[in-house]
Amino acid sequence: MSDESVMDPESSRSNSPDVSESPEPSPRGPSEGQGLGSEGTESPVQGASGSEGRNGPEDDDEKIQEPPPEETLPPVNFDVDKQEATTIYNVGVMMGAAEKPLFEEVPITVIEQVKKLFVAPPAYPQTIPSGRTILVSGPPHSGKFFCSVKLAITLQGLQASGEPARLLLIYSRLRHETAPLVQSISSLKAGSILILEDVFEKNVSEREVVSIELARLNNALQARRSFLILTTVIEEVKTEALIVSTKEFNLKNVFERHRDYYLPEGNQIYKAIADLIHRREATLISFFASPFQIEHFFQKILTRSPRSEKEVLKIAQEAAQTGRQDLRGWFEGLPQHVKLVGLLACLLEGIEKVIVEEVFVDSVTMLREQGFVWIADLRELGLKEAWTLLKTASDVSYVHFDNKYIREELEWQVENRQILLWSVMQHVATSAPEKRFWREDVRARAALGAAVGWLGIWDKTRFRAIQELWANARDFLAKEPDNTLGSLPGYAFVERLLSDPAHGRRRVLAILADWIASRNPDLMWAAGAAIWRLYQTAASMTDLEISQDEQTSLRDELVTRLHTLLASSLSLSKTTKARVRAYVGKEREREKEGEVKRKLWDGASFALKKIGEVDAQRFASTLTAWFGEGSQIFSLAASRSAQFTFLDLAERKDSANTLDFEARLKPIDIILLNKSAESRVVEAMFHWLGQWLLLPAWDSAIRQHLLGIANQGPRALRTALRSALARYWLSLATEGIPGVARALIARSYAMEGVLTESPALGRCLLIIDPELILGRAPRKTQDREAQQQAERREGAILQILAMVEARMAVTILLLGAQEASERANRGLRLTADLPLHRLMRPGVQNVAPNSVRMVLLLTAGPVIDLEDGLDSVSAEHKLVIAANCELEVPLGTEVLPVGRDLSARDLETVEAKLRLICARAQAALDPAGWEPLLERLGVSIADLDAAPKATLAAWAVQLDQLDKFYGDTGRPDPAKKILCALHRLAAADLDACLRIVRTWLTGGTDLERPMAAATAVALLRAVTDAPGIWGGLAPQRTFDELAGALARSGKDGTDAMLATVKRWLTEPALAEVLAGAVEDGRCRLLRWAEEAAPQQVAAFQEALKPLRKSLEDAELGPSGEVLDAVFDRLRVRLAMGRPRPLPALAAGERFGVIVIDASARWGQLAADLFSRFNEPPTSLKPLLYRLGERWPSWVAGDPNPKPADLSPVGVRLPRLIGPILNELSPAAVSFLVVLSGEMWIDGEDWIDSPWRERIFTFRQLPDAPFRPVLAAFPHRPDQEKEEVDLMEFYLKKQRAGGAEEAA
Amino acid sequence: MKYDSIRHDPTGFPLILVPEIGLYVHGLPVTKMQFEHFLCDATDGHFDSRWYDEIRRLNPRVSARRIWSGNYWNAFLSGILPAEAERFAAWCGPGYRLLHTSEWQRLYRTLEKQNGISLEETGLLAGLAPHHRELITQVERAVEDACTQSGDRCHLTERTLMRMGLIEWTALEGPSPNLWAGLGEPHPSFCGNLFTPAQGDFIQPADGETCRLASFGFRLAFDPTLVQEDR
Repeated sequence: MSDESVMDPESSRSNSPDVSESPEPSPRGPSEGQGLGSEGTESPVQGASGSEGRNGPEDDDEKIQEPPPEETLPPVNFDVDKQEATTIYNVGVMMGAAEKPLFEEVPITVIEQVKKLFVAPPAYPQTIPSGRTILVSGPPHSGKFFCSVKLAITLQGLQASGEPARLLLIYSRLRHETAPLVQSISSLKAGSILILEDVFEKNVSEREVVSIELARLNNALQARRSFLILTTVIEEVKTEALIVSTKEFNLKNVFERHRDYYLPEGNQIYKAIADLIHRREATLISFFASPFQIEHFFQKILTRSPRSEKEVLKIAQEAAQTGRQDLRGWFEGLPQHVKLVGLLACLLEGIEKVIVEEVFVDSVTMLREQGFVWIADLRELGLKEAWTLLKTASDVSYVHFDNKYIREELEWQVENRQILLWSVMQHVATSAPEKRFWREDVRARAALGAAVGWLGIWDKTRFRAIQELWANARDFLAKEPDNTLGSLPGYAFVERLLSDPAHGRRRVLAILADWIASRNPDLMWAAGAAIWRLYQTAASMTDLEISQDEQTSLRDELVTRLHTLLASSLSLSKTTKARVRAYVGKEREREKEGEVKRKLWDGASFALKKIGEVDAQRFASTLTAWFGEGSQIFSLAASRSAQFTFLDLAERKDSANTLDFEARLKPIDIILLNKSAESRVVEAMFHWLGQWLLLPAWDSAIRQHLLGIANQGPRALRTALRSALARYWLSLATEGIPGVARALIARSYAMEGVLTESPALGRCLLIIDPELILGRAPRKTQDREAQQQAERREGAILQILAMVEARMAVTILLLGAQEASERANRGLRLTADLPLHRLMRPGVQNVAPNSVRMVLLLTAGPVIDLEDGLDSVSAEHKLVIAANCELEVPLGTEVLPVGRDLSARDLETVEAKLRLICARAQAALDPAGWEPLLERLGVSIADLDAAPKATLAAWAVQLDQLDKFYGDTGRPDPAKKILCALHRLAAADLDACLRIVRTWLTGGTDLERPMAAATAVALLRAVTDAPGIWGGLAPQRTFDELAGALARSGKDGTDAMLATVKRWLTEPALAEVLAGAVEDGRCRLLRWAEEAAPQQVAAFQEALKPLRKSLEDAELGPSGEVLDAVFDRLRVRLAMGRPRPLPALAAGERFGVIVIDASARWGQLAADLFSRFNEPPTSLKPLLYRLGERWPSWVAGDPNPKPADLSPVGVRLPRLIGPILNELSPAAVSFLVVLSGEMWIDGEDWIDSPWRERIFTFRQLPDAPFRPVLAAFPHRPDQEKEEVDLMEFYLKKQRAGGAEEAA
Repeated sequence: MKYDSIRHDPTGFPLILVPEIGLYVHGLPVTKMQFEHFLCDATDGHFDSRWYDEIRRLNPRVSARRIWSGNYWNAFLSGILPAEAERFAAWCGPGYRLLHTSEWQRLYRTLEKQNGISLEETGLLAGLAPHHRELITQVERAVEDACTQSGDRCHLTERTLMRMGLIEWTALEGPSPNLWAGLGEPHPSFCGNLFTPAQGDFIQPADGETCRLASFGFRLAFDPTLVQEDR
């Protein structure tokens, strides 16, 4: 398997050809030729990509390079593929290893404070319920964080002794993080208690803590033995999680607890202050609105040591004012360089402090060079001091603001000072391709992208220019394009979307469209990498500030962009081709172009896979759409993305229980329907399923899904499933899996009417001529080649023996021998030491058992007493397989000539013949013949006969019950029992059997219907094989009872019926059945086909030609002519669509009839006019006919017709109206408008009838014999709408005034 | 006389039981109006508008209200090939077929004996749809006029157009290279004819199975013995 250069920087391995031998350097270095657009002007794609696409997209590459067929690629190597999947996983299935969320331990001082200061609010729970997610809600400053820590401490104390202490962690969720919580906690260490403050302000939606999402979250936490505590100011969150409210806190208690903690009684140092406070305690408490302010108050008290009540009150007033205004002053008071560090730190929060420092140093150097001297010389600046002043967390290496108010203030300042920051960040962004740390640190890259995305709100030109610079810095010409840079725009776009959803969405989509249309491989690649990141954001639980519809439409548009990208990647622009040629030379040009394209295809495949991680439904629908494109590229991309997904899933057992079963299993059907069992994606899929089948949570879901396929098909899916199971699971060493495969294969056959276990069909006497193996030469004289030949022939005979033994008991007799051959330890001997006489009667008389169903003679030459020998035994079938000889056999014996060496083809012929004989024998079994098999399946015949319908229905219920199907219980398959029981019933009472099958087919349960379809197929097969069975007229009865219902059951049913018809056409007696039972001029076949064809037009169209061919090949006499006419009529019917019955009229309703001359151009007019009347509620019900048809093609309530549907190709109808009018009563018709350019053939017939008042023509027809008699609408060429308006107006008025008035 | 056993084909046109031959027989040759039902219902690729244009070119269509003694044969379907007539018979349902030559001749002889009764008197018009009734009565009136004009009698053979009508396809019996033969005597203005049915003459066109002949039409018989339970 080739390595991938997928749309993520971490997966840039490639097996692309080595281009380093080329003496030419890259014509465009990473930072060359992509200057930023000038300020204030939009930087279009062309501007950023040099001459590429200056005048819009370049001309197509005239030669589209399709990928090689997937099957020509090397087979799946799980080690290599797993490595690839792991790579994909690490870079961001949820988020990459380096992108893991920041979890910090709760400082011990905080824990101590909580332990001593926390005062439980009234709503604090007495006991902690079983849920793993807890929500703490309350107004700002009401002590939510303290409450959370307190809950965490309580939970910590609940754990069983002996377990390691649970970690108490705080989740510092960064502004660009959009991953759902369930994904974020995938990085959580087992046994943790995680606190996330102000959860809904950090790209987390309330939906994440509701119903099924909450269940998934709890499952994931359970798997990690962890808890999640969330805080929010939202008071009415609709969640099933435990909510602890801090709303009704008692400030007096809080105050007293603080007082006792900070000013403990008995401490002489604080005694004076404690007294002061005690005296004015009530007044002081009245100042405060929150525990936060009380905490602030006591901290100030301790640092300022007030000596008077006045001072205490002043401090209290200050503490009560705690809020942002204080921080504004704090920021203004910072030194200039600290302000800049703070702004950069806020922009890039989450990255290493050293990177911020490096960015800061570069920025100061640049600013000072540009004359900005308000900032001091670098040598004067103390960076450590800056971090202290900014109150960042000191115990971690990355930037993090413990105090959320400081972060909020800094965020405000970023927005306030975006002009300054742009000048700094533009420099940072432009020089990014040269800096190692952006390339190496995913989190730094994400932060950089997010920073520029944030600033992009205020300068769209610079924003776009930077994105194009980054994208082009990837450099598609390089041996290993720098995907780390190509991925940067994705982060920026996501932030752009999050910061300003309404405008950002439009701008980002516009840029993506331009990039894809540019045919510049770097811009296209970057677009693909951005598409999946944007999609993940839009599909995550993040509440963007746009409507749900807009969010859905954004996802739709992103998938559309990805589709366009893939389609556009088929051809490279001329400019790109020229660059490739200049870089690698003409001789390697094609190779390099192929490599560039492949990277784009793989990128698109990867993007779809990433989309699938967050939206399995979309993944499935896109797979279906791409497979259905009819393009090798789309099929390849769909297949690859599925393969990536399966390999990835196989490795992700730990997160399996957080995923939705149904959506994740849906691709199974899609892949099986579109890919062969040998393909790599199917192999990967069964590898994954095999892995997850071992997970308790998924075991039954997977089994149930596969059982669903086996039960309910469709047939193509069943076949593909069987094939894949046989290939990947049957011989798997994993315990249990081969058993599952065997059970599924048997079930899927049963659901197609095929029994993998057949009833005993009696005994076969197999007579083998030893000369068939040895030839006439004695064994001892044979040379080596002759011996090998003999061994081959013996092998072939043994194969025939196995075919017979599979269905019948066999007695083997060598020709000329007196005794039957017996199997010995060393197998069966089919030759004799001495030459035997070529006589069969003596042996037959000796060994022939009393009841032989079949005599099978395999001979290589004449048998002296052939006639006598065959006559001496009574059997239903007598078959002579004559190898390279001509024999005269008695009447009633069949001869099958084969070659001397019994080639594979000969064996196929023999097998087909034997299968037919056995099928006939099985079909002809009497009821008792089925009983041994039924008993073997555990059925009590007496119980079955006592209540056949109820028993069958009970078995049908068991069809989807896993415990009745899988497992090593050896429990017989209910599908087999049903098939056997119904065969037995057919042999006893065909009509009763047909009634049950038909009832199930038409009104059965979801499981009864497919079972009935399988039985119907089996019964039709039986009557085809043996038409004379089951009391006579079995084919007619079976066809009449089941054909219609089976065809209505779906495409498989229709296909089965068409296959039956095809077989019947080759048998004159059965063809006569099809041509018979004429009613209203329509034979049995035509009546069935006319009813069934409209539902399965494609199947009929496909079958029509082969059916006609069968008919032509058969000599069917008069039946052939009838059937020929049937097919001719069907051809026309299929072109015209299904005639519709007249709808019923309620009181006061009448028909408005539109008749169109289908051979003329009135389709649009007729469709428009019909649609005007086809709008309920109305008392006028429109009917639309074609001249020359007897029944309407469209009636009221149908979807409006398309003009093209009204004039079927290749059909010329006689222009007659009489048959239409004969079926209608004039009183029931309000108007009849005929859209025809000339008078119809039988117009005169109706001039004197009541119809005259109702018939309108379209314009005065030139050849109308009674022009003034019929009302006519004026024709208005080029004014179609006005034309229809006028007609509608008059035809609706017609009800009052009549056509004559209108005329 | 009044026949007490009438049945209608799927288009609503009447057949009358003729005990002498044990068959129900169409009272008139098949009309265009009858055949048009088949055309519109069969919706058959063969019987398309071009086919009907060709038929009408050979023998134009006339509406019932315009029938007179000089054009009544235009109301009937002619120019049809025997196999096409069989298709129509098959469409009509089990039991319908073309008459055998001998049956036609026996029918002729039977009707020849019925002097001077009108179609109304045979009961043939009972229960017909107005349009069908109008067509048949108009034809009968036109035939009467034609007979008057030519000085011929107007018996039931004429009123049923076994004479003065078309040449009708019948199935030939016995050893013969042809399967089909024409019987009947058309109106001289429609097709000159030297043969007369009374003498048992029939016509065997050399390429009648493939070449359309403007004067050749047909009528159907319904044979109750052919209708048996299919099952």
